[in-house]
Amino acid sequence: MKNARFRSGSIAIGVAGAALGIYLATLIAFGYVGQQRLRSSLFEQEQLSIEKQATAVAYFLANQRETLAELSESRQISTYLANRDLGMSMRYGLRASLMAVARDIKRLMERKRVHGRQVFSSVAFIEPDGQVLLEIDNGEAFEPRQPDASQAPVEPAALQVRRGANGSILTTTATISYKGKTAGFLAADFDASSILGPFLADRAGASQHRRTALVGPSDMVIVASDEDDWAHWRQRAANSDEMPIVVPVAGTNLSIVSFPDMNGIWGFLNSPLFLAALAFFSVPLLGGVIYLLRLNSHNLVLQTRTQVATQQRMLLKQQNARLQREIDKRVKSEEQLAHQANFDQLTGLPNRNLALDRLAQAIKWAKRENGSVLVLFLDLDRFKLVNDSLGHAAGDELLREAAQRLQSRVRESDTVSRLGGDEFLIICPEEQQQANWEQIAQQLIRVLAQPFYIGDHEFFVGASIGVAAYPVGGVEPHKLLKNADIAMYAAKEQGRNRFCYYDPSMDASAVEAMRLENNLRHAMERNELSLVYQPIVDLSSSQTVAVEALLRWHSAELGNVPPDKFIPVAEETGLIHEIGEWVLVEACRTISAMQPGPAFRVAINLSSKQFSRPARLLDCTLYALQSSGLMPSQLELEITESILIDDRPEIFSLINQLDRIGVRLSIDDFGTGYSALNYLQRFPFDVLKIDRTFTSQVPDNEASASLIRAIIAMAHALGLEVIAEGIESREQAGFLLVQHCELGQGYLYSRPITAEQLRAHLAGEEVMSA
Amino acid sequence: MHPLVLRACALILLVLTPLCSQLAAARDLDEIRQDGVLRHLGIPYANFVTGAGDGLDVELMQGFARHLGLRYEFVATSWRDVFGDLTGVHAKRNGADAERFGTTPIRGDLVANGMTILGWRKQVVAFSQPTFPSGVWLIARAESPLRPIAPTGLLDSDIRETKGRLEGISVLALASTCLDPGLYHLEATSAEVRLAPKERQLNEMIPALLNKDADTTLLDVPDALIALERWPGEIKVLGPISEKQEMAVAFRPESSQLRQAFNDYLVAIKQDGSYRRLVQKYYPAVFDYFPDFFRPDTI
Repeated sequence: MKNARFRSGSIAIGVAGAALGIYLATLIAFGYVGQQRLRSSLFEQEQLSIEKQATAVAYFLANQRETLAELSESRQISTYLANRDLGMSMRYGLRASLMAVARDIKRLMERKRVHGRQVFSSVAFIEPDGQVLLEIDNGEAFEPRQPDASQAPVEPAALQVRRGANGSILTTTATISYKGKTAGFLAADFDASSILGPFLADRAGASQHRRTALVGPSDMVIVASDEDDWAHWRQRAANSDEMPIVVPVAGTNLSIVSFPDMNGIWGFLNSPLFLAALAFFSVPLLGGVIYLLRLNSHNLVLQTRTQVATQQRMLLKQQNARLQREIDKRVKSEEQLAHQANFDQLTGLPNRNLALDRLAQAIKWAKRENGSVLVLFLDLDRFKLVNDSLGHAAGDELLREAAQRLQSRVRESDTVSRLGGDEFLIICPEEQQQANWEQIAQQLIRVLAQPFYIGDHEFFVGASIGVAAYPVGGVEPHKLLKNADIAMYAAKEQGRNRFCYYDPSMDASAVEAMRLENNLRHAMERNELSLVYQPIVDLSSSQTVAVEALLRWHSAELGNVPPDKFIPVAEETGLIHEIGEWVLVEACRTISAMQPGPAFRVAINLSSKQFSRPARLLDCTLYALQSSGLMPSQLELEITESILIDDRPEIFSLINQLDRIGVRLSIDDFGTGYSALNYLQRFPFDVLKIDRTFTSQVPDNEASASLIRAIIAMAHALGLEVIAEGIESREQAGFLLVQHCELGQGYLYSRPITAEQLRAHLAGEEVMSA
Repeated sequence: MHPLVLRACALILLVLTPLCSQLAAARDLDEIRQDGVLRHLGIPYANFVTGAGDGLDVELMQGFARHLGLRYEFVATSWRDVFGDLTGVHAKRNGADAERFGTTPIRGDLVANGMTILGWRKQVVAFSQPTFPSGVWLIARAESPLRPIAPTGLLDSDIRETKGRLEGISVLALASTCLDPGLYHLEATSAEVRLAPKERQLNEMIPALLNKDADTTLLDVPDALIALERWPGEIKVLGPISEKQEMAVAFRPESSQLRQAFNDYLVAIKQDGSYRRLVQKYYPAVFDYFPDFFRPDTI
C-alpha cells in the first residue's frame, strides 16, 4: 500500500512534471513558430512598407516627369521654338519667348511642392547640343549646371544622379520636340535628401529601426534614412544572414534597399530572449519536479507511517469497542444465564438451585448462630385443573399471580422460590417459634385461598404446605427439603388447604409413592422421559427387522425410575394417556426419520388404561402416523391379554379400526395370563409374542419347551407371526429357530439402545449384509 | 447759315480760345485739388491702357490720384486729339518739330498711356521722369521670307541691318504716334510705308499685319512683347528700327506742381517696390529686355 501510494504520488508528480514539460515545450514551440511567423509577417509587412515607399517614390518621380513633359509641350516653349525657328534673335524678340518659358518654369517650380518645399531646385532648358539655354533655380543653394555638352541627357527617361555638395542631386528630364524633332530637353534637378528623404522616412512599417536607402546605379546610395550608419549596417547585414529588402522603383533605375532591424519589433513577451528564458526555465522546473519527487518519497514515508499508526489506532479502538461489546454481551449473557440458572423464568422467583443454595446458607448461618431455619413446601392443590381446562398460558398466569401473592406475605429476609410445576418453597431464617410458622403458613394458605381471576374465569385453587425446620426437620438442605415435601404430602393426605409440620413418624412409603406420582406429573414437561429401542431380529438371518420401543424415565429428583414402578403409577393417575401418546408420536417420528425399509417395524406397547379412551388412542395413532410419515404397516401395537378380558365392544371396534388402517397388532406376553385362544380368533392380530419367562427356560425346561412349541404351532395355525422375547443365549435362539419361531429379541442380539445407537446398529447391519 | 455769320463765329472762337487755354493752363495741382478730380487722358494701347478699365498706366494714375487724395477719372482720347485734350491746342509732328493747330477744350490733367518721349512732343507737353523703356521693332508675319537680323551687339548696326531689309517691303506705320515713320527716317529706305488710317489704334497693328495690310509693321517693344505672346508663331521680329526710347507721363507745361507731385510719387513707388510689381503684372518680360531700366537702384 505504501509502495502503491508512493508510486501513485510519484506518478502524479511525474505526470504533472511531464505535462508541465510538454506544456513548456509546446509553449516554446508555439512561441518559436509564432516568432517565425511574426518575423515572416513583419518582414512581409516591412516589404509591403518598402514597396509602398517605392511606389510612392515611383509615383512621385513619374509625376515629376509627367509635369516636366507637360511643360515641354507648353505653349511658351512652343512659342519660343517657333520664334527661334523663325530666326528671331534673343536680343530682338526671342528672349521674350524664352522669358515666357522661364516664367512658366518658375510658376511650375512654385506650384510643385512636396513636404512643404519646392520639388525642383532648378529646371534647365537645354539645347539638343547640351548648351543650357535657360536654368531657373529656387534660390536655395543653387548649383548651376555646367554648360557643356557632357551634361546633355542621353537617356531622357532615366534619372540621372550626381553628387552635390549637400548630397545627391537627381535629375529628371523631358524631351522637347518640335516639328517631330528633338528641340531640346528640360532637366529638373531636385535634392534627393530633402525631397525623397521623407518618403524613406515613412515609418509605416513594423520596424521602427530599419535602415532604408534609395540606391541608384552602381549601388550608389542616393539617400539613406540613416546615412551616417548606412555603410555600417550594410556591412553588418553582409556579415550576417540578414537579407535586405530590395524593391526597385518602377520606371527608374533606382531601388529601395532596406535592412529592417527586426530586433526592434520584439516586445518582452514575444522576444527571442523571453523564449530562450522560457526554454531555460524548464531546467529549474525539471529540478523542481525531481525535488518534488524526492520530497514526495520522504513525505510519503511519513504519511504512510502516520496513516499506519492511525489505522492501527483505529483498528485497536474498534477491536476494543468490539471487545467491550463482547464483554458486555458476555456479562449480560452470563448475568442472564446466572439469572436463568438461579431464577424461574416464569415467575422471576429463585429456582430450585438458588433455593437450595440459600437454604444451605441459612442452615450454615443457623449452625453458626445456633438459630433455626423454617422451610415451607407449598403445592397448589387444583392447579392441574386450571392447566388442563384453560391451557398452559392460563396455568402460567396463575403461577405468576400465586408467586406475587406469596412474596407479598413474607419478610424481606425470607426467600420464596419456585421448585417447579406448582411447587413453591419458602425459606424463613431465624424462625423458632411454632406460633410464628403457623401464622406464616396460615397466611400463605389464606392468600392462596383467595380466588384467582384468569380471563373471565374465577378459580379457587388453594394450597397444601409442608413445614420442616432446622435442625429438627433435618440438618442438610436436601433432607430438610425432602422432609418438608413429606410433610406437604401429609397435609394433602389430610385434606387440602392445610399445612402440616414434619414429624419423623410420618409413613415414608406412602410419602414416597406420592413423590413418585408427583414427579411423574412433571416428567414430560421436564423432558425426563425417553425411548430406547430393542432390535427384533429374524432368527434365521439375525437381521433386525423391527424394534420394540421401550419407555425410560430419568427423574431429576428420583433418578432412574424403572418402568415397572412408574407405569403403574401413571396408569393409576391417568398420566398413562399423555405418556402413551408421547411414546406413540416420538417412536413413529424417530423410526421414520431413520428411513428403514418398508418392512421394518416399530413395536409399541399399549397400556390397558389407554383403551379406556379408544377414540383418543385412535386419533393419536393416526396423528403419529401422519405427522411422522410412517406407513401403518410399519407400526405394530402390542396389546396385553388383560385388555381383552373386559370384552368391551369399543375396544373390539378400536382394534378392528386399527387393523383396517393397516396397523399391525401384536398380542404381548402371551402365555403369562389367560392365554385364551378365542382372543386370537376374534381379534385381527398379526404377531404373537412369547413372554420372556418361557424363553428363558428353554431348551432345558421341557415343559416350557413344549409350551413354546404349542404356542408357535398355534400361532402358525392362526397365521400369526411369532416373536420370542428375552433370548439371551444361542441355545435359546437355536431352539426357537428349530421350532420355526420367525423372530426374536433379547440380550443375545441387543440390549435396548438409544435412537442414535439404533441408527448405527442398522447401518452396521446394512454394511454386513452388503 | 450766312457766310458772314460763320466768319463771325470763327472770329469769336479765335478770340475766346486763348482765353480758355489760359483758364486751362491755370489748372494745376491746387485747382485739381480744389476740383477734387484727377482726369487721366488715355488711349487704349498695349497693356498700358487696355481699354478694359485697367492697364499699367491706368493703375499708375489711380494710385497717383489716391496719393493726392483725388477722385480718379479716365478720359478717353485719341492720338489725334490727345495733345489738344491736354493743352487745349492740337499739335502734330512736323519734321522734327511740333506744329500746333487749332484749339480744343482741355479735357484732362495728364496723359498716360505709354507715351514715348519724342523731341517734338517735348515742345508741346512736359514729360515726367521716364516710366517705361521702349523702342520700335520691325515685325513681319511668320511666313514672311524676311529673315530676322543677326544681332551685332551694336544697336546702330542692327538698325541699319534691319532697315537694309526693307527694300521693296511694305511697312505699316501710324502717324503721330511712336510708330510714325518719319521719326525713323523710313523715307530714306526704299520701303513702302503704308500709314494706317488715323482711327486705327496701335493695338490693331499686328492684326493688320496678319491681315496682310503690309509685309511688315512697326511696333514698339512693349506692344511687340505682348504681340509675341498673343500670336505665337504667327509673327516674328526682324530687328530694331529705333534707338532706345522711354515713355513717360505727359503734363501740360504749366502743370509743374502736378508733374512734380507725380515725379515724387514715382520715386516713392519705385522705392517701395510697388511700381516694379505693377510692371511685373503687365509686362513681365520687360525686365529681361531692359534690365538696366529696372535695376533696383534705378527705380
